[in-house]
Amino acid sequence: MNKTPGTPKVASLNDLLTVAYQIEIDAVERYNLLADQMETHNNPELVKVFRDLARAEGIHGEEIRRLAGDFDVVTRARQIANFERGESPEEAELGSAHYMMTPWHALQLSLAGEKRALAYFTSIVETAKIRRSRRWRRSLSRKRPSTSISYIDCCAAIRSRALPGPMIWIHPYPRNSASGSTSHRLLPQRKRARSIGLVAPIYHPHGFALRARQLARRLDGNMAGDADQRFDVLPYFFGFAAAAGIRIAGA
Amino acid sequence: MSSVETRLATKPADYKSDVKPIWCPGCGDYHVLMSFTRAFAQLGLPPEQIVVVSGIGCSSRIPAYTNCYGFHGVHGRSLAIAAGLKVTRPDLTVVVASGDGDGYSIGGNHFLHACRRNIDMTYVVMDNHIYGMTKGQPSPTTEPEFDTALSPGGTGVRPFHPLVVALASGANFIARCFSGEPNETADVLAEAIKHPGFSFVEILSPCVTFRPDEKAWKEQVHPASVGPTADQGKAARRLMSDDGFNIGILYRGNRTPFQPAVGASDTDLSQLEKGFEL
Repeated sequence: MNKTPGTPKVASLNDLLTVAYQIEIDAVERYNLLADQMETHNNPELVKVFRDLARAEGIHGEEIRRLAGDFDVVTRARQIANFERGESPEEAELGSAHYMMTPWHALQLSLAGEKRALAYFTSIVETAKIRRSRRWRRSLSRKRPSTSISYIDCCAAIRSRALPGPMIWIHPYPRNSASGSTSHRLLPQRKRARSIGLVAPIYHPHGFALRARQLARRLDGNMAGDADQRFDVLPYFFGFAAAAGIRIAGA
Repeated sequence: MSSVETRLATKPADYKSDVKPIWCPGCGDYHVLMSFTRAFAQLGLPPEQIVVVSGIGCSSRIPAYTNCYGFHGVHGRSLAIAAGLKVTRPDLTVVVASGDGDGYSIGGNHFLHACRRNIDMTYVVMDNHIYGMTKGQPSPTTEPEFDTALSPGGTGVRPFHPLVVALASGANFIARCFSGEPNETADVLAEAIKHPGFSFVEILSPCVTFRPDEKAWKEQVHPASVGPTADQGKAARRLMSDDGFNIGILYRGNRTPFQPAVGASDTDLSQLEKGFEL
C-alpha cells in the first residue's frame, strides 16, 4: 500500500513551518523508539546511532521553531500537520528494523526518511500558491539534500566500506573548537589530511558533507577491495574530523 | 478535571506506560500499540476508564505497555475475563488484545461465543500467522504450504478465516487493518470502541523474525473497494472473494448488546450464606 502521506493544506508560511516542525518532532520520537528497541536488545552501537539521529532531528525542529518567531508552531503542529494516509514522511520505518541491523542499515533507514521528506517538500513546492511561501518552501527543500541527505548518504557510504573497522559517526553540526590550542595541537593531522587530498572548508555542515562525500568516493573508487589501504585512510579521516571539531564516536 | 478538559488534554503519549516493549525490532505490534494509544487519545478516554485484557503471546504483552488498567490473563481466556469484567462494570471501556494462536486456537471457542453474546467490548487480534513467542509453530491462520522444520511439508490444513467466523457467529462490528498503517488502524479502533456490541478487529501484524516473508504485506494490503455494510448477506458475499488483504471496516451491525442486570443487587449475602451453613 502507498506509504506516501497525504499533503496537509499549507496556506501560509506559518503553516509550512508548522508542518516542517511536526515532521521533525515525529522523526525524533521514532528514532528514540528505535533506540529504545535496540537498548532492549542490547545493541549499544545502534542505540547511539539512533539517539544521535534523534538529537539531530531535534536540532532541526528547534531551528524551525526559531524561524517561526512568535508563531507557536508547537501548539498548532498537530492541528495542521495531519497526514491523511501513512505516517509523517521523515519517520524511519519501524517495520524495517531487525535483529541483524548494523549502523549502516540504520543510516539507510534514515536516508530513506530524508528522501521521503525531500519528496514531500518538493510536492508542497509544486502546489504552492503564495509567492513568498513558495520561495521559503524552495529554500527548505534545497536545505534538505544539502545537509541531511548528503550527510547521511556519505556516512552510510563510508560505513559500508569501513567494515569491520570502528564505527564512524559524524555529527552534522560540528562544534566550534573550545580553544585555539586544540586546533594547533591537531595541526599535523590536518596537514596529513591535506596530503591525501582532503582540503576544503568543512566547518559548515554543507561543506563537511561535501568533504565526506569526496572521501566516500575516494574510498569507493581508489581503494575498493583493499581493506588495509582503507584502514590507512581512516586515521587521517578521524584526525581531519577532530580538527574540525566534529565528534566521531568510536574514534 | 471535567470531561471536556480531559478530552483536550489527552495525547497518545499519555496512554503509554514506562515499561519498554520487548518485542523484536521490526515487529508489527509496535505499530499496534501506537494505534491503541492514538485511538484512546482520539476518543479522549481517561486512562482509568479503560481496561486492556489479554491472554498469552507476544501480542498479549500490550496491557503492560499502556497505563490503563490491564489484565494479562490465561492463554486463550482473555475474552472470558473481559466478558465477566464488562458485565459487572459496564461503565468501563474494555479492549481485549490477542494473537492468532491465543485467539483462534486456544481461545477459539471463547471467540465464537463472545461473538454470539455480543457484549459491548472490542476484540483486537494481532494476526501474524504464526506462534512467535514459542519460536515459530504454525497457527490456525498459517498457510497450508508453510514448510519449515517445525511443519515439514507444510501444515496441509485449511487456514481459519476469522472474519467469516466472526460474521457467522454474530459479531456486531468487523474490520481488518494492517499494523503498518497506524493512523488508519487507530481510526478503525476508535470506530470499533464507539460501536455498541462486540467489535472484532483483525490486525495483520508481521512477525519479522519467524515470518520475514510477511514484510511483503505492506505491498500487498489494499483498501477495501467498498465501504462498510450493515447487511450480513452482503458482508458474507464480500468475504467469499476476499484475498485476505482487504483493509477497512467490513461490517457494522445493529444488534443490541448483551448486558444482563448484574452488579446492583439487593440480595442480602447473609441470606445466601444461610443455605450453605452446616
